[in-house]
Amino acid sequence: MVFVAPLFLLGLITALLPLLIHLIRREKPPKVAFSSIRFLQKTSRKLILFQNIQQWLLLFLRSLLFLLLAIAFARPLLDSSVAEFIDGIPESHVVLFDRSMSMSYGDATARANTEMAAILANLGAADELALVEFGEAPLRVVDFSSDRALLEARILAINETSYQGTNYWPAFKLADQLLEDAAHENKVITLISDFQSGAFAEEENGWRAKVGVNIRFIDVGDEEVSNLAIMDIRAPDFVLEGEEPTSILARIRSTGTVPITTGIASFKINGQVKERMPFDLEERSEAVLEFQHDLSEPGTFFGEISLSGDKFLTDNEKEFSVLVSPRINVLVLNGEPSKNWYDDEGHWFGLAVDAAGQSPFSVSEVPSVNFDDSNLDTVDVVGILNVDELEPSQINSLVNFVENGGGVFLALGDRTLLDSFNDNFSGFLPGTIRSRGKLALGDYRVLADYDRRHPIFSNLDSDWPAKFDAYWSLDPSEDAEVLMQFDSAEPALLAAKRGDGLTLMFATSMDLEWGDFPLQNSYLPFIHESLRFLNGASNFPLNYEIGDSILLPSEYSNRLTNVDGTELEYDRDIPSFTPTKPGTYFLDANDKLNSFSVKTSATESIFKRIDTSVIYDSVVGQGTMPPLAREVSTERLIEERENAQQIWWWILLASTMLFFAELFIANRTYR
Amino acid sequence: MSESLNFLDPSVLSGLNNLELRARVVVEGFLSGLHKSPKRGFSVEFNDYRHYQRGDDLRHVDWKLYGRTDKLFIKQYEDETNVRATIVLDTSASMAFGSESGSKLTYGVTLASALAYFVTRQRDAVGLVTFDDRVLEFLPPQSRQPHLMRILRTLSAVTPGAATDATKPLGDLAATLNKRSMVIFISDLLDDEERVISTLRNLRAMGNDVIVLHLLDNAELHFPFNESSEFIDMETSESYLANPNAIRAAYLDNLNAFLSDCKKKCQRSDIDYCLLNTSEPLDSALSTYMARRAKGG
Repeated sequence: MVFVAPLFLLGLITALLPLLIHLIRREKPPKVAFSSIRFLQKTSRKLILFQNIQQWLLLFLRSLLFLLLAIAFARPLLDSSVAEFIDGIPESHVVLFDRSMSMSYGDATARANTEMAAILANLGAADELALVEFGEAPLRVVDFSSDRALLEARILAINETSYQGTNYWPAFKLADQLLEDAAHENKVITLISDFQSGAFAEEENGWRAKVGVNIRFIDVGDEEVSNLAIMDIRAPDFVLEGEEPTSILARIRSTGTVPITTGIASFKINGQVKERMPFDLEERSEAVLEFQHDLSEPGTFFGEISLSGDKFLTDNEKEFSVLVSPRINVLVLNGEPSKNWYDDEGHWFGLAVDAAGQSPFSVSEVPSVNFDDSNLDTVDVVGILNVDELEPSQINSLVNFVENGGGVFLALGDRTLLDSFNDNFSGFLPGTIRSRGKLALGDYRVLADYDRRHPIFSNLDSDWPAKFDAYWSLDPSEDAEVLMQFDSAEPALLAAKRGDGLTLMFATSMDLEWGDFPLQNSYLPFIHESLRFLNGASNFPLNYEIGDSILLPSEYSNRLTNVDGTELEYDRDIPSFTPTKPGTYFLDANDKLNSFSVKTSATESIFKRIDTSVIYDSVVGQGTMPPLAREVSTERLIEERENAQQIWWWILLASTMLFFAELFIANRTYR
Repeated sequence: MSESLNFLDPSVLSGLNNLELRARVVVEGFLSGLHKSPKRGFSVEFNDYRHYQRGDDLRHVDWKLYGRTDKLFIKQYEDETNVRATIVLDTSASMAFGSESGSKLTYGVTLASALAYFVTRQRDAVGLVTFDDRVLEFLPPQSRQPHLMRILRTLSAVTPGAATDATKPLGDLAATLNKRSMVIFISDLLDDEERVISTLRNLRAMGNDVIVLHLLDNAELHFPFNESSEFIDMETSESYLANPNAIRAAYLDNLNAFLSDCKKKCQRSDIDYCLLNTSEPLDSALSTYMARRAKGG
């Protein structure tokens, strides 16, 4: 048995009233002087006993009357499954708990925790609840459970402030997915958030929650917000050694409903304050602050720009990292210098490497016949283009060069000799040539596949429309990697490590003689990335946002620490790291790379709010009925159950009969 | 008669402080009521003849008989018989109980005074014994007027005493009665009635006339209480917590059995028994006395 209005059970105490009155009145009977009590004492003991029994029976009846009335008012329901009905239709409930950075503004998180506690408190006995916390990406904190203690423990464990941005869509999708396996048909998603407009892009490929899944909103955001934020920092990832002082730009804005117009910006490099700059914002405008610093020495620099002037400090500072690289010296051994520039590999190769004014390369060219050991003194990478033969001494020089950490890029061509090539270059090349590919007239090969995770290609997101009408078939050595293939599945680019150096072998020519590769957009970045790879330079980006999945350069030992020196765990198999806090991180990278920076999302600083009805209309499945208030559905169910049982009616009937019985006995009982 | 008898109402009498006055009012009122009765009473009742002796009052010579027999006979009347009445008044603690018109003791004192006055007025001797568990006052029967005043003073000084034990006082009285007497026993009999009536039977057996005037208060006779109360025995101080409504019937049954028993035992012993409700007039008590006196007591 359960009670719809259990508070009325407190009325059970009134059952003691008759006994209490009896005891109080019994305390002081009046004394009456009487001539003799001999006739009283002769009164029948049975009569006295009967009278006493009647008195106690009356007392019992009155107590029972109060007891029944209290029970009737508490509205009992008799059903083994009725407990769940008392709390309405049992729900499968997914709570989406916004843990984005903006939730740390004011006491939004405290309010959210209070609302979460209220949801738990109102959780019906048969309800099940799953909790998903989210920022940019959702995270399942608790799967469906009805164990309130477990849910409370898990929720209490969530106390760390997140620096993530906000995106409702993945959270809604995960919740909808979870509800597919829910135990009850009544499915509800509750979104607890501050409802920043940036969290919800209206269209998500027409996705909607499944029909029957309802959504409730709990707004814990502030109506009045005052906030000053660094929206973005623009700093180059790479700077060449010896260039002009580097400009670092900071875009700042007052993003709240209550504007803040003045403050001071501080600029730090490697932890030292280099400059302080006051600023004055006009209402609803933003300013771009420019800081300049001479980054002349090679190496990685980390910096920070911070603001003073408001209380929401999380978005008041942003970090950045800059890699100052020395120029890469490239020596080109051109096997076919030609007066016809379009048939000259050296021309196309040099054009790609050194044409730009800010090229990170310094190129020198020497005919292969003139090449000797002295040419390698200041060279980082050697490009061997369509060379037929080299002298053994030249070969030895190249082998030593590679063994000591140099890089060689070798491109084949029409001057390549099948008989002597493998003998000459097999000592340090990643493969051998087997035959020259012969194609019918009008036929051609294209570059069909490549290793997208390789440093050469990881930053290249271009098409490869180049067509080749001739090429060499390659046989990769055992330790070589095939980085690129033709559409015939034959290798187009091989790579291998030799000693401390690296070598690349390209199966066709770098000029227009065998194809149109030099005319394609991908030609220049391909050569740049190949040379940087051979030089050992990383193309690892240095600036990220919270939530980015950072692919750490695998060629280094990668001991990852934060600013405090604390070593951080990450997935070493991939290796991948997803930062959860903004700041500068350090990699133990053989002195070649030692920091990268993570900043918070600018959208979290914008407190413009979105109407929940917009979200509801966009997310709820067509045909889903609006949710009834829990109290309303509960009342309806209880009414339905009560009308069927009417226990309270029977109890009141019994009480009435009891009342008349009491009257009857009381009239026959002397008081 | 009714107007006269109003003076016998205990509530009226209780307003009279002077006991002699109270007694006279009772008796005169009672007698004035009797004048209207066809019965004349005992004072003119013929009883016997005897031979004339010198010195006899010639008014009592039966001249008609002299005419038939030529002998002088003197008429003897009952009123010439000397009555020695002893009023025995119970002054125990239970006699102090009273609910409406005063206590049983007040009623008893008034009744005893009236009887004493009445007996003295008839030129009979009257005595008084008051007792509780022993004899408190004893005034032997005398017919003189000053003696009546002594009785009335004694009665006016009566206060409630201790528990009742009539056996010994009645035994002591029996020892002092050397002539045939009338014993008027005024009590509520809330004692061991078996022993009391047994003692009275002995007195009767000795040739005395015995009248028992059994006084009970209206509250004792009807038990009109309603509220649950702790009843305290006025003689033993014992208490009894009871709901009067619950036990009234049983109480009255017990009381009536007691009264019936008393009456039966008295009747069997040729003892006049009269139950008096102290809220009612005293005439029935006087009538009882007169009836017994008329029987030749």
